[in-house]
Amino acid sequence: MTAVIETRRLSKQFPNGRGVHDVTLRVEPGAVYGFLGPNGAGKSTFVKMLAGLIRPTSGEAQILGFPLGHLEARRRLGYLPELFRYQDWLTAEEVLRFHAKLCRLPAPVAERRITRVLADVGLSQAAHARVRTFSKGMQQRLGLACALVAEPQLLLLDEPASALDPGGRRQIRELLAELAAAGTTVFLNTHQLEDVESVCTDVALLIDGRVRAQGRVDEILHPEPVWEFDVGGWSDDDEASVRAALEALPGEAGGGRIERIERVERLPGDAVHRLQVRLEDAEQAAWFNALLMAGGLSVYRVQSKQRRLESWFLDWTAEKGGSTP
Amino acid sequence: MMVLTVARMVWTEIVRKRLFWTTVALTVVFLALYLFAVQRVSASAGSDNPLDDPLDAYLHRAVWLSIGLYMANLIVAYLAIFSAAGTISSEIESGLLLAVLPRPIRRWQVYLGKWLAHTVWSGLYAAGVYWAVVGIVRVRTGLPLDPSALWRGCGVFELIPCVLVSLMVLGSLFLPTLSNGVMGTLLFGIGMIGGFVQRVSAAPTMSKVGFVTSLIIPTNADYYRMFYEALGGSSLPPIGAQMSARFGPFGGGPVPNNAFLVYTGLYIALCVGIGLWRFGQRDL
Repeated sequence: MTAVIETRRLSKQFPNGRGVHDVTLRVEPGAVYGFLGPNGAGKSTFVKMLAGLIRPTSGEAQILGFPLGHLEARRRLGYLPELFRYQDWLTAEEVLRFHAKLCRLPAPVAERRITRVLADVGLSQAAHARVRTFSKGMQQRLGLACALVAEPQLLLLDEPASALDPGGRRQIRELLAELAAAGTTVFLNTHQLEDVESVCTDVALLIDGRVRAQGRVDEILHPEPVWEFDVGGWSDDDEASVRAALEALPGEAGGGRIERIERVERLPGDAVHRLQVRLEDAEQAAWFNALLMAGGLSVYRVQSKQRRLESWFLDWTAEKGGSTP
Repeated sequence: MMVLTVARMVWTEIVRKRLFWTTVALTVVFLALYLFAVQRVSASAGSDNPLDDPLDAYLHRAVWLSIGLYMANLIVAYLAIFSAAGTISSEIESGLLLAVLPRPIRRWQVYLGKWLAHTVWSGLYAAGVYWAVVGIVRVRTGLPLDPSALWRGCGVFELIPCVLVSLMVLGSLFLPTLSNGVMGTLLFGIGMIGGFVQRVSAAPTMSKVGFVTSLIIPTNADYYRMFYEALGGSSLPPIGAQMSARFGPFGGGPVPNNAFLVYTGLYIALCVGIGLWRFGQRDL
C-alpha cells in the first residue's frame, strides 16, 4: 500500500547549521501521526517541506506517491500553518471561497463544503463576519476550516490547538478523531502531548533536527504494565516480608512471574504508601492484592498506571540534551 | 485563471481596505484645486495681461499642462510605490502566503497575479489622472491638443506605474515593506534629481549623470518623453523640441528616444522575470 507520507533521509540545512537532518519516516493511510519535539527542533521546517514551502537540501520524499511540492500532492493535502493570518478584510465565507477557488473546486461543491466545514469547526454563526473581528481562537478554527475545505486526503496541522481554550481543543480533538475515522490521514505537529495521547496512532520525536524515536503510541504508553497499590499500615518490615514472599513463590503467580516492587513512596500528608509493582495483567494484580491483605495491610486503591507521553518526551529530551518545550 | 483569482483578491483588498476610496477622494480634491488654479490663472491671463503672440499664448497654457502632469506623475508614482511595496513581504511577514502557497497553484501564478493587479490598478489610476489633467487644461485654457498625440502620451505615461510596480513587487521579495517603500521612493527621487541635473546644466558630465540615473530608474525619462508626446512633439519634431526646451526641468531638455522606450520595456520584463524566478526558488 502506498504510504501517505514517505521520507528517506530528508534534510534541510540552513546556513546557520540548523534545520532537519536525515529524517526517514512513513505515515500509513488513515494514521494520525503525532510529530513532537522541543522548541527549535525543526518540526515546523519539516512540515513546511511536506507542504512545499521549503525546498529540501537532500533526501527524498513523497506525498501520496507524488514528489514534494507537486501540484497533485498539494491538491490532496490541507495545511494549517503554525503562524498564519487570513485576509482580515474578508468574511470567513469569502476566505474559504478563495481557498476553494485555489483548489479548483466547482462552485456548487465549494458552497457545500464551505457550509460543512464552517459547521465542523463551530463557525457557522460567524460565516458572514469579517475575519478582523475574530478572536485568535476563531482564527485558528478558520485556519482549520481552510485546511479542510477541499476534503484533503492528508491534513498537515502545525500546532492546530495552540490558541484554543479547553473546550475548543476538545472540539478539535473530536473533529480529528472523526476525520481519522473517515479515512483522512493526519500529520499533527504539536506541543499538546495530551492531544497526541488521545488522538494519535503513531508518534515521532524530533530533537536537534533528527528523529530520535518513533513508534506506535499505544506501545510507547504501555511498554510494561505497572500497577499502583495504595496501602495503609505499611512499614519497612512489610516491604521486606512482601519481597520475601515474592521470592518464595514457586515462579508462577497468576499465570506469570511478578518481577519486582518498583517503587514505594509515602503519599504526602497521609499514612498511606503507594507501591508500584510491575505486573502482567489484572489477574496478577488480584493475586498481589490478596498477598497484601493476608499480611494484614489495608488496600485502599488498586490502579493500572499508564505511562504518560510527557514522561517519554522528557526522558528523551533529557537524555539527548534537548530543551523542554 | 489562477492569475486572475489572485489578482481579484488584490483588487478586493484595495477596495475593502479603503485604499480605493481614499485615493479617489483625495484625487478629486487635487483635481478640484488644480481646476481652480487653472481657471484663475487662465482668467487673469486673458484680462490683465493678454498674450498676443500665439506661441507665447500656447506655451503659457502648456505650462499648466506640464505642472498638472508633473504633479500627476508624482501622485501616480507614490501610489504605485506604496500600493505594491508590501505585496509579497507583508504577506510573508503575516503568514498569509503560508496558507496560500501550499494550494495547487504555481508560484509564478501568485507572483504574476499580484503584479498584474497592482499594474492594472496603478495604470487605470494613471490614465484617469492623466485624462483629467488634460481635460481641465483643454477645457479651461483652450490649449489645442492633438488626440492621437495625447494617446501616445498616455501610453508612455502608463510605463511609469508599470516600471514602479515591477520594481516594488520584485523588491518586496527581498525587503520588508517599509524598507521596500523607502527604497522605491528614493530610487524615484534619484531619477528625478538626475533628470533635473541633466536639464539645468549643459555640462557633459551632468548629462551623463542624468543618463545613468535614467538607466537605473527610467521613470523620470519616461515622464519627459510622455510630456513631449502629449504636446505633439513627435509629430512636429523641430517645433516640439523647441517647445519642450521652454519648460525647464518640468518638461524641457533632451527627450528620450524610442530606444529608451524599448529599454523601459526590457527593464519591466527583467524585473518581472527575476521576480518570477526568485519567488519560485524562495523558501518561506
